[in-house]
Amino acid sequence: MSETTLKVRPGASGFDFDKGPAAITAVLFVIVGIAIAQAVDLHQAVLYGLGGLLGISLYHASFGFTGGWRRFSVEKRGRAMRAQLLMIAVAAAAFIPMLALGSPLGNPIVGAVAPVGTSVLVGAFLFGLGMQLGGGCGSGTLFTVGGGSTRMLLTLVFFIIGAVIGTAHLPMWLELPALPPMSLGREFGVGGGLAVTFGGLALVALITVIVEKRAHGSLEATPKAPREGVARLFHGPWPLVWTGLLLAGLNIATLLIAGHPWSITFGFGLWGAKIAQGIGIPVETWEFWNWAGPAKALGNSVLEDNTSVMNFGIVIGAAFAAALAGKFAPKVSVPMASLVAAAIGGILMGYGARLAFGCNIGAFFSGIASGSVHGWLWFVLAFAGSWIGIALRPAFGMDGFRK
Amino acid sequence: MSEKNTFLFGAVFLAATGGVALDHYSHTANIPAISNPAPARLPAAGANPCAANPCSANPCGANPCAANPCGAGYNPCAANPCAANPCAAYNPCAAYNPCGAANPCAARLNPRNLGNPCAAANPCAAYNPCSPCSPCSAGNPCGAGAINPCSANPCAAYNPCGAANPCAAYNPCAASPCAPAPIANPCAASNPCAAYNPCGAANPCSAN
Repeated sequence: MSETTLKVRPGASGFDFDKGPAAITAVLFVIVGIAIAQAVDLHQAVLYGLGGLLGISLYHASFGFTGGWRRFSVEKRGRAMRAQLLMIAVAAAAFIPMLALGSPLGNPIVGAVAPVGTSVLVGAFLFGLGMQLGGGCGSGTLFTVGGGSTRMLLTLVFFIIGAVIGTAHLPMWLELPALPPMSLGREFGVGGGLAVTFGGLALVALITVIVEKRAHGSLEATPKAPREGVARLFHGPWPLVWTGLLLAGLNIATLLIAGHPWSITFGFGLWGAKIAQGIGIPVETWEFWNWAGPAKALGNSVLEDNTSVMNFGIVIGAAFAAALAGKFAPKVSVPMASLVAAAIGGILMGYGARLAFGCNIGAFFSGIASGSVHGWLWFVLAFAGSWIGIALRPAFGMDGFRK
Repeated sequence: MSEKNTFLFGAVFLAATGGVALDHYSHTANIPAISNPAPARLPAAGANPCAANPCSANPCGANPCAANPCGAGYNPCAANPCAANPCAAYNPCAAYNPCGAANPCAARLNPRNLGNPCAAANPCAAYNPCSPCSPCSAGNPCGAGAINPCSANPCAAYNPCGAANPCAAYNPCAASPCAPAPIANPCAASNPCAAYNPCGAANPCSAN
């Protein structure tokens, strides 16, 4: 806690927060929003605002996929995973019917549907492995950087490098065998698509319940929050389930406003490509950056890119939440082995996300919610990679299957 | 928060802000060069815009494209089953595909017309969803050596030259008086229709 800590409403419902960082990040959040509205348009500013809400939600609930998967794999506790599955189910309940309509509010929308191919198999596995070494997934990396984590800043840097390398190799990977993209909503109709998606999510949730009960005899109770009411709203921690529902709502809002579901890692590749251009690497000659979408993104301002402005919002929103929680940048020194793991993890995640058409957000959350079969394949392979990653963590001085 | 972290994050923030600002202003200063590579030659004022146009036999008056799909925010894909579009969603460029919400043709989503492949000055070559260099080519059946995207290919139903396209009867690729010879890419610079491409604001069909 910094010296500028302010005590607000002392007592059981009171909370402390870092006044200086909170004021700075709040003002910064507003200024950046206004700047985006001025430089581009209100549409981009709204997406930035959505990113801010996502960042606050992710930080206050510590809603990370990495920790949840590791906790289930190591401790056989599935509460976090079930919150993730519920979040995806709620989003799917809206996504699949809306995608079938095509333009529910007049704007055409598209889902996160991708081919079911070799690139997804390899990319998802690498991503899962990398997220255990890196210490966070796509969203986790952003919100922890916003929260002031030095280690995750390094993960982000290498995440960006990996994403750029992935753009160099993706065309080659796409030459390998792949099944065509399959959308459950298209294959089975809206009702069938929803039924299969809900059934699959329920089955995974049931597996987590069975595993947890076998290991512990009962399901873990939700821990009692240290504070309630307004203090909890501003300070956290937010309940996982309610935060999952909020994140589902924000992803639905993203689909309606941006026209595509929430995604994160395309922005990383774009940032890296622009930096690479700046230091003289001719990425604009690479095949990927000559495809229309990436070429357009590379040729325009980064503020024109939906994913990038949302990412900016997530980082600054998380910084604001961290300041409210009085936890901004709590850790200074990080062991060298852990930094090496962060770098390796970042590279693997960046490369893997590019090959797999997204990360835990773009492929897992938005993919499954869109009814895409590739999202399910991503889940299976990323979970397998995560398992290997947990086993490798002790080599870098981190906890693995054995504490 | 330690001084070390304050310095680190402050430096990162300043560098990122500087980078974003530099990127934004360098690109907004170069919009024509990036988004609309070369102005198309427009028909002389007062002249029949169809006179030198291989599409001149085209009954523009009855052309369902008369309401230029790129104009006024109308998206030709909006009314179509985008879900079945081979260019939709599954390719890495999904967000930018012609059916995507970020469709630059959608004027209301792109009030400043940035990067609009349908802009009058843009020859469309790099952005044509049927073009071999299109983002769709790597991941969809249009790819793999399909030189002529207008030939009988699996994408026919969805490409702008496809038989199921409302413009098909009148487009330069269709077997119609408009197309005396097969033309690979209706938007290619070498295409005599380029200046009149169906996406162009200057499309004489639009005016008629």
